[in-house]
Amino acid sequence: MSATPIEQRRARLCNQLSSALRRCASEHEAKSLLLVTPDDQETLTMIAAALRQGSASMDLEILEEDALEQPPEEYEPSSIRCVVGGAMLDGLGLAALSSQWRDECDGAILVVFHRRTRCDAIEECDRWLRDAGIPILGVVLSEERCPDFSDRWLLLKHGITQKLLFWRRPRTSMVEEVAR
Amino acid sequence: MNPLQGVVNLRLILDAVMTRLWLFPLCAIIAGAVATQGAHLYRPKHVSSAKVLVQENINVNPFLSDMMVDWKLKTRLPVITNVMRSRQTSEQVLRELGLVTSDMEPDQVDQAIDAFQRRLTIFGLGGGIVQIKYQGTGPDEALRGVELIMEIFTAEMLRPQKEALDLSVTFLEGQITRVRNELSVLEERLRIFKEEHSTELPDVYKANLDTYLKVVQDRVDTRAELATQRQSLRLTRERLVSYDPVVRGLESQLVRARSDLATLKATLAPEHPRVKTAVAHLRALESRHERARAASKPRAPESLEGLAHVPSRVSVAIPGEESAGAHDLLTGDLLEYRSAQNSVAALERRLGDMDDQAKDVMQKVRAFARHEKELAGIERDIEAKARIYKNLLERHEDALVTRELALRGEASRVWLIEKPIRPSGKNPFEPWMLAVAGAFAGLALAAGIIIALELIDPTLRSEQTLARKTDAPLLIRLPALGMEKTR
Repeated sequence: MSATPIEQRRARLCNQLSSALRRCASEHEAKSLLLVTPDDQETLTMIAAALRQGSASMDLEILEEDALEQPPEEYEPSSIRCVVGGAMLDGLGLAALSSQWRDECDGAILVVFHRRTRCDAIEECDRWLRDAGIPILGVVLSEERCPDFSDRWLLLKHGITQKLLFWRRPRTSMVEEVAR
Repeated sequence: MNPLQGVVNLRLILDAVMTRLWLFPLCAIIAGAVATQGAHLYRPKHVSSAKVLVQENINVNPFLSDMMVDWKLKTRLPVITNVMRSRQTSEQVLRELGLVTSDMEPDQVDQAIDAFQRRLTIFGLGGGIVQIKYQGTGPDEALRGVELIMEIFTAEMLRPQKEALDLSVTFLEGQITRVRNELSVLEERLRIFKEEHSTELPDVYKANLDTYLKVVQDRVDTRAELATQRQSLRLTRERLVSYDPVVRGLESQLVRARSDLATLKATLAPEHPRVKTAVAHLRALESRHERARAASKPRAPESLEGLAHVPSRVSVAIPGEESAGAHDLLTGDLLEYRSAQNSVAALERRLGDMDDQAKDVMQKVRAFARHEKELAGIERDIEAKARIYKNLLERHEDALVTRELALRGEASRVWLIEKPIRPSGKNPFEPWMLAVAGAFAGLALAAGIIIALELIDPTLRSEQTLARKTDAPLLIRLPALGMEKTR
């Protein structure tokens, strides 16, 4: 059974996201990137999952947030390491980031959400990261929480199809194959 | 942070609508439900209205404009409006409608009056047209309310004029009575005056004056006649005083003898014996006449009175003559004398009477001047009072006619050009109509809410805003991945 158009599109977007991060790291000669968001940890996790899905064929290593609690490990110099930093303005945020990781991270990728992230939160994150010595190298704008009209229609149609034509639901293995 | 700052982005608008698309059906459903419920809760307004045209007198009846009272009804409209909104009028109407009863508390009456005044509308539409509207709790109440208000309105509009006309008529009647009494007193006074001075009235004065002039003229004539009669009496008296019957007889014989002699001489010769006899006879008579005249003496005038009264005693016998001829002569003179005497006496008496009459008339004429002033005063007062009385009578008659015209012209002066009708008891709004209208209103409300939320929304909505907030470039714009579904 072949993948649905929505699944194919998702896989394509995951690859595009990974490529964009890698290109950004290459442009700034960064080896270690910190993936942060102002306040929506859950959506950041979904973005990290998409990034992990798209980086399967690339030399892009995705580290979970738990890795920040440990000292940085040695890694292969040819690959690029991307650490999911979490929500900066949620709780302590990056206050608990060790100096080792601060020195380790060459830059940050700020993930913001359309119609979700407050503008003043973006400014605050920018100021905070700049003070921590981790410049923002690029911004990822996600419409996950608020898709535009065409995406809404596409998702709605996909959802209906998933519900009504359950026997045509693609297998997970097929999605992974498409992604590869 | 104004999202509409700069160029209005159609994508942003569509995005805003789609983001809160749920507001449209929600608001439409809620508003439609509220409108539908409101249709059930709505109590229809039962409004009855009427239009009246207030006309002036001259407009109503131009042929009797001179009898009409110039009464500016239109100027009373504001006053009437306030009167209609007064507590007294409102309570009167409410009692007629049965909405206020005697067993109600004062607070309840006040509340009913306030509610009535809120539901009552009276306003002028221009051109003398007044519209009266009343909103009742039911169609019948609304109709009856407007009818009652119309009656009060008409009565209030014409009440001052009717009262003024009644007052005028009453006042004029009182004045007429007073002036009539005063006129009666003056006329009684004039009557008494005329009775007391009946001969000194102006019309009698003229007659007196004419009489006086006539008496004076008669006096002149009588005096002339008296003078003539006196002259005649004097001559007669002189003749009677110098009268001698013997001489008078001889003179008669002389005349006769001369006549005979002349006749004889004409027929006979002078030597005829008869002629000679006649001459001798004439000579003898002449000599006797001479002797008689010489012997004759005049009478005293006093003796004439006796002769006049007893003429027969005057007769004197003449020898050789016929005594009858002498007696006749004496009698004729005496008669003439007596007649002249009587005429003089009569004329003197008449003249005396005329003098008395002239004196009397002159006295009356002089007395008239004395009473004329008083009479003129009385007549002037009577004339003035009569003029006032006539004027009052005319005014009273005019007032009566005007009042009758006003009473008969009430209906035409306040002309009902739109009769009050019974309003329909049906609810004009169908529930489905209100539901649809409410839904549309809900859509509009949702649009308004979206606009308001967009104005206060501080979240990120465009790449331009993101570029303003941070110097970092946008790496990728990720559409919705639907990750939640597949995770």
